[in-house]
Amino acid sequence: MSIDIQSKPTETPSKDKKWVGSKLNRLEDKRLIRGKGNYMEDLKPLPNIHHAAILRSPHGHARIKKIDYTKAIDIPGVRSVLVGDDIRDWVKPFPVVADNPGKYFPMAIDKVRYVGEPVAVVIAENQYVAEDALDLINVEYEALSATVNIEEAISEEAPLLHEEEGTNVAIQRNTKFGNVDEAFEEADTVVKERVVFNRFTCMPLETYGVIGHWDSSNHAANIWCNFQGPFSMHAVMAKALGVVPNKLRIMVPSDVGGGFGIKITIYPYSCLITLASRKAGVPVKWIEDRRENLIGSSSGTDRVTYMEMAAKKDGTITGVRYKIMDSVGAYIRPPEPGTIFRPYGNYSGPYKFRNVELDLTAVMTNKVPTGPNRGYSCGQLYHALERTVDKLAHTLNIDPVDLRRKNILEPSQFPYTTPTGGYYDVGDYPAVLNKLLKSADYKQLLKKQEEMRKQGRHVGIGISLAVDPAASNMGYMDVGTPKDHSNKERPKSGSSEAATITIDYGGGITVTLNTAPQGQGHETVAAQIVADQFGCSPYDILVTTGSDTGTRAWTIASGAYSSRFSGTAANAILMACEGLIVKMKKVASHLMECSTENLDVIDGKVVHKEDAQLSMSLKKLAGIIHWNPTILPDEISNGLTHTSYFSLDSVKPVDENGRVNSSGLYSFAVDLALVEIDKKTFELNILKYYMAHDIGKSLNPQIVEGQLYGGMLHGLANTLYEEMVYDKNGQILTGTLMDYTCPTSAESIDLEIDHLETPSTLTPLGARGTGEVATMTVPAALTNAVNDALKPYNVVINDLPITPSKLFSILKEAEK
Amino acid sequence: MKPSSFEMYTPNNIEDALSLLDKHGDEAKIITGGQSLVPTINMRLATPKSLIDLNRIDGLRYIKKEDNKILIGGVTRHHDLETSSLIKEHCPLLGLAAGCIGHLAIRYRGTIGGSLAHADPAATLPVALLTLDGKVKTTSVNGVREFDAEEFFYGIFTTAMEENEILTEVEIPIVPKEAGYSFSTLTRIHGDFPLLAVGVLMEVEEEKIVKARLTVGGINPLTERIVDVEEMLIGKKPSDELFYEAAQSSKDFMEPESDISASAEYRLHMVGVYVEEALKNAWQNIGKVGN
Repeated sequence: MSIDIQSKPTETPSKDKKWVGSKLNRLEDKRLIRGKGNYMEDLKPLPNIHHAAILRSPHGHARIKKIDYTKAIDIPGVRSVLVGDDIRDWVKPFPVVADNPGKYFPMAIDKVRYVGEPVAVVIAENQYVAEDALDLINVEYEALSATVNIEEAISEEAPLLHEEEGTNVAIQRNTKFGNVDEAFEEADTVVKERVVFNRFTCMPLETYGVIGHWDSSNHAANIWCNFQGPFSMHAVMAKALGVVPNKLRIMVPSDVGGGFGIKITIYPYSCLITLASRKAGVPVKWIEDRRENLIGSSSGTDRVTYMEMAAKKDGTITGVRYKIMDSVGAYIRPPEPGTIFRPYGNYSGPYKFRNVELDLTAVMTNKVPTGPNRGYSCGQLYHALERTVDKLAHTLNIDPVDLRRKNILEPSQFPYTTPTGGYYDVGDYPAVLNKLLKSADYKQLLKKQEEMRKQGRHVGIGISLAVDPAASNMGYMDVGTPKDHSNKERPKSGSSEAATITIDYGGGITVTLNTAPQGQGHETVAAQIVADQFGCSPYDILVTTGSDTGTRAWTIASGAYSSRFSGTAANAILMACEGLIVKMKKVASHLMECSTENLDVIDGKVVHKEDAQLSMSLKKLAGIIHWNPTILPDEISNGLTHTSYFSLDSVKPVDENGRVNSSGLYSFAVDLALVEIDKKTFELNILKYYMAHDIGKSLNPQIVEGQLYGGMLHGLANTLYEEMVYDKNGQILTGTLMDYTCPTSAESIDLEIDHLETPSTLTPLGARGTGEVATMTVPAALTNAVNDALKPYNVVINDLPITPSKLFSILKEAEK
Repeated sequence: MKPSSFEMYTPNNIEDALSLLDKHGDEAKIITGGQSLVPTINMRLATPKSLIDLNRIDGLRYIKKEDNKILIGGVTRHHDLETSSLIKEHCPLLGLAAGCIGHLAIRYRGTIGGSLAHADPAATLPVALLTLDGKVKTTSVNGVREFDAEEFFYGIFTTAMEENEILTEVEIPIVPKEAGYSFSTLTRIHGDFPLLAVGVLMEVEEEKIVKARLTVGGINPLTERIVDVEEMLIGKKPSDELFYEAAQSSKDFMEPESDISASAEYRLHMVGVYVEEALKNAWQNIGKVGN
């Protein structure tokens, strides 16, 4: 593999061709590959920055009896130590949508509830001294029984994490849509399945980093951190810190080394380090190390799902019951319980069935608190749904592809509103499926499998479908708000983003975003969009990313999460261009003495439609506007800056029937895998892997391909390699990369990728999401493929990860 | 993950290094590649008062042939072993074992002396040393001591070395061209510590196995040759059946434990699979040493 850092595009758009849709090489890569990025560790925004080291709980569950840090504070270079007692009067619990949330603070106060929970923070001149001091803090604990298993934690006998709540269940909702009971009563067949999804985490190369500065004279917090949004967490932080919103300024550097969801849940640490600054009276910096990252940051939820599926003899699915139980860890931390609500609108996936029961539970256990992990809760969802669809196919002896074809939505059904409130605007799912089957030569593949089976080989074919939600609705969490709660009077909705474009006196274009990307290529795609609008080169456009809530335009939905850039920020950028073009046309019409309707923008010039000789360059126009504003008519304001806000209109508040369109845009994906279980080593060999998608308009196919490969590897980690393992005392057994097996490019596989482009009707650019889709399909497709390989032995594996050791014991058992 | 403070010594010759080590005793640690030591001190699992760096000493990084031996300096990098033409010609198994260590960046830094002295039961170089009948030379202010591979390793992270000794040289007898060899590791992901490492050296004369050396690492706390199985092979005609039986027998000498990576049963099964495969491979490449 070679690394191509050429600065020219692999495809050069001509006059008729647009930059949007071209495989423009990422503009960011030149600096990133050369080590010239600007990350958290590179920032020195203030003088006298001190360094923090965090003392963490060694217990899964214990009461803190006493903390003595007198010896620690005596070390030269140590400035201060922050403990739970200090913050009692400074913070309120983080607000969360849950019936029995307990109280979650940035650090433990009276009890520790997971291994790795912050207990004390040393603030010192440098990191070395800070860590020396940790050894001298003496904490007296009274160990308590822990609970780590989901179904045990729900039971009444389980030790309680938050005694005042009387239960470990943070939130539980049961809702029926359609006539579920009737569907099950009248069904010809009902299949049931129990599916277990592993707890695993993201592995960004750059860990959390925070510089917190408590400004005591203004009762304000200035925080630099590699947060990825959503900036609705700004409200959560402001509430906890007790500051008014405009006194909380969050700044994110232009480069962040990966997020995948985990950098949403940095915010408790952003608050913790700011509280350390408040105690110490100096700005405080903290860069998380890998061990802290593995035990004390976040992960996706582990889940047990009991599925029930009702169907007719011919394979028509008539109803589905989901009983979902998620372990959210020691505290239910926003944006949880998103894990049970985020896919609210797409719980029926790509299928036609209208009768759905959702029994959703989030339970607290003595594990690290959870949060989004690429595909947020959809990996769990489709793993369970697609396993059950396969089981139905197996039970009815129908080919799994035929069964799906019978049940997926027809093009004529679009726009389609799902039973739970999701709104799928347009699509041709059978066409995407057919495209995949053609590439894979499915019939031939079945024959090949037959032949290989005759040779005694364990070969399986697995398929999975997914509707991939993007640009989440800021109001979806309201489905969890109790009926009598005051929030019902203050509904939320929308999925919005802001963009500002400035043209300077020399005609230079600067785009300022607040999207806080972590490597998605926002700079590149923003430059492509702007280049098309002004007819200039994307290389000449400056794009500022990162975030600054103190100086930039932003929205509470801002950020790089939920695969949302292509469906939200991209459109805000387009609108900001249009705003500037309107203004420049007005100026040009005044100077050229013609109507604005007769003007076009072509190749960086405002040109008269009927007389191409009559034109003015944007540069010249910008020069006049900045240097000679007095010649402009009164109705034209000075300056050339335009800010636009874009919001998806389709994401409304929860309706009166408790339904919600939980995301703005929905892509569709089909995966198919051919796998073989090695008969000697029981390793899984993925012989072939096919994908087909409809992600709407592809703004940059090269970036899309990168996202699919990245998502696939994340899915492989989920399915075959990674698991955060805790023992019964809540002790974590995977605290270093020696034990937590994170795959790298060496474990990657080749993909055969197809696309069908049906532009979204909801956005001007027509793009949907793509960054998370492969994480939603890979676990299901591989699990189905492995189970197909195991089919001749009448055994199944429904718990992840699928390791050679597990396959060995299952097949050995089957042989007995 | 920052270490506690320590003194760093950077001697320019071996005499200075030895006297420093003699002076500081168990409060000092030798550092060369640092691929195990640095994480250990960063995680504060070890807090040595001083580190003695051998990297500035000339003459500890070499691979040379003397008579019927290959001599390797203690500060020779894994990558040197992996790419050395002398090793490829005369004891290719060692190059294979070095190539199985971690990732390229690790192999550029890590050293043979460091790995053998560290004696991690999951390391590959001890397996190679035992299989190749190598020797280890250690040096202290009191002089040089020499150990056969069998005498050198005591158990997890423990060897015959004294606190004041430095592992200065490794000696590998030249493998005859008629020999066959194999080296393989089982890992969950590329570059990980192996769950299992198997080394085999075999010589066949007149269709009979006359020499067999078999070492399995990664399972028992102490990596050792399986002498009983070697003896079972001697004098027999190589065949798939023989190798299968030998592989099954080698399981009797293994005491794997279950952990989060794999069950004991799976590990034991894989010992059988890997040993059988290794014996077959060694038999198949008989006469290919140096080619």
